[in-house]
Amino acid sequence: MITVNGRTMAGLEQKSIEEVILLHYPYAKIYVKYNGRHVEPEEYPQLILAQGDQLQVIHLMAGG
Amino acid sequence: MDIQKMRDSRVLINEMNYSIEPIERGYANRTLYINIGDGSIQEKPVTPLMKEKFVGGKGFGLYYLWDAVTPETKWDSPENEIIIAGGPICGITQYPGAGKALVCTISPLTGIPIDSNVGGYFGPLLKFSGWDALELQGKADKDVIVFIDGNKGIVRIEEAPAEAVDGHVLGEQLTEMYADSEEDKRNVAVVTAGTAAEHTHVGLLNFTFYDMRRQAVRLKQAGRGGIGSVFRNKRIKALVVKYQGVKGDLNHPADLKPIAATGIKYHKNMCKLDSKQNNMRKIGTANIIEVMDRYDLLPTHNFKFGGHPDVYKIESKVFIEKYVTQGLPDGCWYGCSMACAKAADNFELLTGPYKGDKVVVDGPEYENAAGLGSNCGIFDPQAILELNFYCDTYAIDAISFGTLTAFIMDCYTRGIINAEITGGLELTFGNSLAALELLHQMSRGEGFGLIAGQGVSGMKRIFVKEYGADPSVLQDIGMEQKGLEYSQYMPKESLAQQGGYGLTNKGPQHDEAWLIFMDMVNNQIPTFEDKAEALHYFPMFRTWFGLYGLCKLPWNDMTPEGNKFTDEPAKIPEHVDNYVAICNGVTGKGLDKKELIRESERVYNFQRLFNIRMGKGLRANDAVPYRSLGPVTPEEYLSRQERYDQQMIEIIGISPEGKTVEEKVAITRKHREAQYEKLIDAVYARRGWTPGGVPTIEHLKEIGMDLPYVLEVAQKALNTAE
Repeated sequence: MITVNGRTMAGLEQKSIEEVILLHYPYAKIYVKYNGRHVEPEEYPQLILAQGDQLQVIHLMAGG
Repeated sequence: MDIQKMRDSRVLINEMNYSIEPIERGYANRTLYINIGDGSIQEKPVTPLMKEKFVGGKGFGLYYLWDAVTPETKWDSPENEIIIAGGPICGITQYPGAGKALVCTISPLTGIPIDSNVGGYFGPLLKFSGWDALELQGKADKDVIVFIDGNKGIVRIEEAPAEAVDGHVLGEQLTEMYADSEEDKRNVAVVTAGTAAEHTHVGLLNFTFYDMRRQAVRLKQAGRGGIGSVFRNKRIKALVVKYQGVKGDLNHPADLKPIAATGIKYHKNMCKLDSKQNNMRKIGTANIIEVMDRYDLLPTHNFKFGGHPDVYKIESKVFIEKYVTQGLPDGCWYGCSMACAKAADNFELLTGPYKGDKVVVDGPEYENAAGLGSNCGIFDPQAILELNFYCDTYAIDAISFGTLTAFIMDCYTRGIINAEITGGLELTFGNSLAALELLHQMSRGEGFGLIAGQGVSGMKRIFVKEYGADPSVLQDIGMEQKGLEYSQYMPKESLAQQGGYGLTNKGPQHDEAWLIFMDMVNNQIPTFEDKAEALHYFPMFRTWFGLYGLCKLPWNDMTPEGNKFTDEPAKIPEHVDNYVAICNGVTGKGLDKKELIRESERVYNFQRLFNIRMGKGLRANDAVPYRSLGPVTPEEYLSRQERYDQQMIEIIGISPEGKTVEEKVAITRKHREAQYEKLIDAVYARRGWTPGGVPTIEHLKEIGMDLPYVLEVAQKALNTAE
């Protein structure tokens, strides 16, 4: 089971973090934690998701 | 524009000379009271109690308003006041977003106090002219203009029959009249309403600033709550302040160095990071139109849906490429490096009394693109900008206009109203010409525009009484609460934002809390306690901007590097530290982050008790229309069926198998309404209120809002609840 922001999300195994962000999170002002570790954008293509992984894609959306 | 003819037609009602005194640590230490009815003008001192309990800005507004009114006061009673106040930080030039003023009155829509935050130059120039606040009470027999000359120390009330009423014309006329030269125009600031404010309950105030590069008057708005309607009801045509000599230390701060250092640090970050983040300098708040659509959060067709295939026609790059002028300094006060007040220049109007004119359109803000656009099914940027322009010049709150027009279109589509009732206007989703004509009718004070101008809550009453509409249907789809129209965000899938709208003091405006992403997307506040904590902290923090004369956008529309490594990145701790440093730099009061929140708590709880005093501050008044909580209709449920079915299994614990859409709508509704009630319980407890929504005496004493007349209102409400 892979969770994103605490929720299980199907179909993410073997996808890179970059692919997940491109598919689901178009907002620019995000930061990412992968299994509790902050990861920089240059790492996104290399990090491939597997069972048990926990991803946080935190949006700093300010609103109006 | 015959300025001399306008001058010649003026009749002096009263004039007061006053001494020019320096500002001390952000305070002029006096306020100006004007009674438009009897023409009296007087000076009032700012007391230590006012500074301690109410700080400034909205705090001063509410303080004076409480004294002015009784529980029986209506918005159009002569004793209702309009108070404009900046706050002790208002007017500094070293940090962005420091030119704001807050405007308070009893709202025509809600019957309780409204507070509205506005940019432009009037707030700072009023303070530099020697006044921490301007109180306006009474009603004139004929249209008047109030003029304040902050260098000569003159306050003047004059009858002013010849000037225009609409904002863009009047702003230009008065700037021309009072400026000594082209250069001097930036020292003149004007407050206007507009013709539609005379015929509706959703009128706004325009606050001008003169754009030297464009050589044009720009308009910022105190938009929410119908303050412009109160203004015109009082027969005030305009307020003008003139002050020559703006400079960076006019607030005579306790210590300028930390203010300057903080500002430089911020400006550097803004230049480096904005283009990679929100692009505020390029497009302003409209940068989020397409983001909201992609996340299914863009209000569409009266908040039914969260997006639409045609949003690409009105996304921010369309406005950037085709309409909004780039590369001009667009700050609404000196020193703002965020500079987000975008404008479309040489925009040719296609309808209305100014058809054919090429004008400057201030906008679009996100609210305009969503409210006048997607929420009404309008995906034409030209139409959005034209609606934006006329809302501003006629002085109609664009947020309210968007939501009330979307409501009308929904009712029209459902057959609740028809062309006979609307006088031939086919107000279906997407009909921008009909929406424009509705706006023009509001200006002319005729036709269906008069009914629409009552707002959603007024229309609900009329549609039931006059046209036999089902009140429960209107209650579900009419997006207003406490009488104020919802602003342009979809709270349906975020319980925290449902509270962020429903548990506000003034009504569903997002300036207290904007939690949709934190809750729905990031899932950072999953429990009721988490949500309650967020619905305590963020409203209190954001209230603080309104006490001091600050814009909230620089707080979190740019995020400094390293923010993600902090303990609470959503609070943007570095910027909170900035505000503490600036506040202490200006006032010398030595406040810390906790005391910052405490200052807001005092005013926030005072406003809650003010609402209770006016008959609308208890739990029953925090109820919300069901469309803000979940899908009202099968159509709405089916638009998100997969999500709702999944939630039914995972969260409600019921299988959707074999159930009709209507049954699933009912199951979802029962669950969501119960969730909202649980949220209220958690939030009230966190805020120190009873389950009925009354601040307890213990809490009021703990936070220092223990004025006897305030405790009396609380005690009475607590006794009644028992």
